[in-house]
Amino acid sequence: MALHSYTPQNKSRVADHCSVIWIWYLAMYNLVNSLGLNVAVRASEIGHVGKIVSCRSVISRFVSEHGVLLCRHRKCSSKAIFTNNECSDPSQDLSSVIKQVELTTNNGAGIMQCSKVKVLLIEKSLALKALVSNEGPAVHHARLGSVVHVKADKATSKDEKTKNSQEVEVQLQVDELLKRTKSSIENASDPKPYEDIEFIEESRDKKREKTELVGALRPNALDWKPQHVNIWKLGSQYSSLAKDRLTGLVVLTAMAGYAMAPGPFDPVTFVCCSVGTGFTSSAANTINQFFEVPYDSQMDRTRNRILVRGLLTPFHAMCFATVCSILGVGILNYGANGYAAGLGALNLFLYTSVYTPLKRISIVNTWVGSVVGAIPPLIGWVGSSGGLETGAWIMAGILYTWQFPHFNSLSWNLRPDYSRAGYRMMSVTNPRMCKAVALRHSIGMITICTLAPVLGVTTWTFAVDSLPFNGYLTYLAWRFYKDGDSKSSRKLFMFSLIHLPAILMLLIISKNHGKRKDDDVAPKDMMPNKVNLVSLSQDSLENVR
Amino acid sequence: MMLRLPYTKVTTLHVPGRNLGTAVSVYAHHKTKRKETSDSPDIDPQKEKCDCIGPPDPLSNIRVYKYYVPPDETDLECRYRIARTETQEWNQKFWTHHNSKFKKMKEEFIQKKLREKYGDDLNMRKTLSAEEMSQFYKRFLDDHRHIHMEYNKEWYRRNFHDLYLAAKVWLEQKLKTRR
Repeated sequence: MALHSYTPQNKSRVADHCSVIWIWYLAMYNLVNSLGLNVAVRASEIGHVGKIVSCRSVISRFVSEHGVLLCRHRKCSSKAIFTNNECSDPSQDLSSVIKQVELTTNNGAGIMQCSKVKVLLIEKSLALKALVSNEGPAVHHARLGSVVHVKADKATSKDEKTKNSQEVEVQLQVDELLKRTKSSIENASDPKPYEDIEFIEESRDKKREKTELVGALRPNALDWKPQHVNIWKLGSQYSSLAKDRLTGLVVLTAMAGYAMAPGPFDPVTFVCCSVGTGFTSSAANTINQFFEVPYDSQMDRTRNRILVRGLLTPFHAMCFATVCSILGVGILNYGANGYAAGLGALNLFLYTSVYTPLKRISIVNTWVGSVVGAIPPLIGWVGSSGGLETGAWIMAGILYTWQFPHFNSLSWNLRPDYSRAGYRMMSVTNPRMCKAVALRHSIGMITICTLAPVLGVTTWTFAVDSLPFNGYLTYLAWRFYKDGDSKSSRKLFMFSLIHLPAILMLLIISKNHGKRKDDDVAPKDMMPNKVNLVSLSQDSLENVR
Repeated sequence: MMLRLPYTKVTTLHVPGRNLGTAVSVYAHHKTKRKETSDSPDIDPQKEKCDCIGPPDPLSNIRVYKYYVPPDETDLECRYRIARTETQEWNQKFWTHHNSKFKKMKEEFIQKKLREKYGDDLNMRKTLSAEEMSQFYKRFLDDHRHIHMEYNKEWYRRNFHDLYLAAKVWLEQKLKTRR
């Protein structure tokens, strides 16, 4: 790479510009190459850094006043001057990225040389990145617009004019640029269609070898921690053990089940159902984490879990799980009824003793997991009405079918981790089936939501207003089936997170209230012994053990 | 009732020699303590008087524990500590071997695939899509199914054994303090 340090001929001009401070971004070599620019420069050699107040003002001032651009490197104070004869129009859109500017340099023999260099403009960004190294590029802080200066390599400067200097419109934020220069430039500038690339062979280039720190400790070498129980953190640690977000969603589905059930709304039973389900779910999640410590430590997604990091001992976690499960099932039993407690215990057993081991044995685990997800609304329902009517099964069916597009799309991007850690998931062992199942169940979702009014669980409005959501879900599942790449899987997963709460909400507001408790007329109901069931639930509050 | 668990220290209790009061100040104390040990990155469980956990091993991704040997260790506590140490070593060995095998086989697969796809062309930008890589992942998972099953069984057995010993140790401690 060329060394261009320069002592200006006319000092007065330099002095004038000394008060102007600019910041330059110096492009990385690979960035430069990938843009088709044939120039790059080393920070120590280029020797100029400044702060750009604004692109516009710099260029216009630059053009109007003296037609030169001066920079002085803060550290080594070497200077360089550039002339830009191209940006004559101040109103020019400076977001177009590559400009050619003329560089005037002194080659040491007192002769001023003019050569054209390409300058890469980057949009405004607030990113701060301070890397200074002798070998690599130097990147400096810019609060405002910035100009990247690239210079001709001495060796290739001769071919510079023959090279095709095509301007490329590349809109990039600085932080994006600094994060993944090569891929972000390529993705932005390349008109090729989206490719689901997992591996890119990096060209072996000596100049791009990273600088080695000699005698440095590994970044986490200081991370030895004593295993203390910090009382103040215990609450949040217990929440992570219980996978609080997941538990919250499970409790919401149980509440939805309670709301949909035909019994009267009893706040005590409602709270007991929710809290009981919450505790049971926490216990199940904790036991799951206890079983999977070495596997979780292998996968990126789970390596910061409490037991993996050793913040609590396994015995402590299991004590917590035991307490939670006793509390959960107990609250369900005495607060709601025996059936709810039974279902809660069943769910706990299914999740910990069937689903968790099965994850490593066969792909059937996905189906078992879907059943586990379908049980909480049943718990809520049973807690309210004391029996499992058609509506309960509709809700369970909705939750069951929802799990497939949700989980299959999530697991699609985790294939490398699953494969190494030894989890048997459809996405790894049978990708075609994975996509087909997701699509099939999205269509099944439409069927169930149409069935709900037919069976009298909701009014007909539910079938109509759930159609957009289910339709879009099916469309995304179809795209996932067809494309089978990370983009479509992520879209499907994200939408499934919105889809379920929306459907549950619509379900509740379209609830068929035709059998209201406060009607004096005997309700014509699908459940002939509803009254008995209600009294049964009252009895069970007192008697069931 | 304070949940006293084997060799885990509860902050805010009266531990001799430490500046107490609030957990915050103890925590700050630990922070400075860590700084002191930065010259030698290894922490000494004997000084800390409890077990210490380290960073994840770069090859096996398992965190290494250093177990504390109290001066009055009973036979049961000794067995518990040895069981945990053995489990840790077994885990380390397995995952180091497994991960390096994965890495090696992945590299071989990539090279083979690239050669198949691009031939010996040096100038092209060579990429492999997720679909192509998924063939490797499926094959690796299927080939190692038996190994994983054996590991699972052994891991569950060891895990429950360690839990059982932990419960016994806790019970023994409770009975000791009650007396």
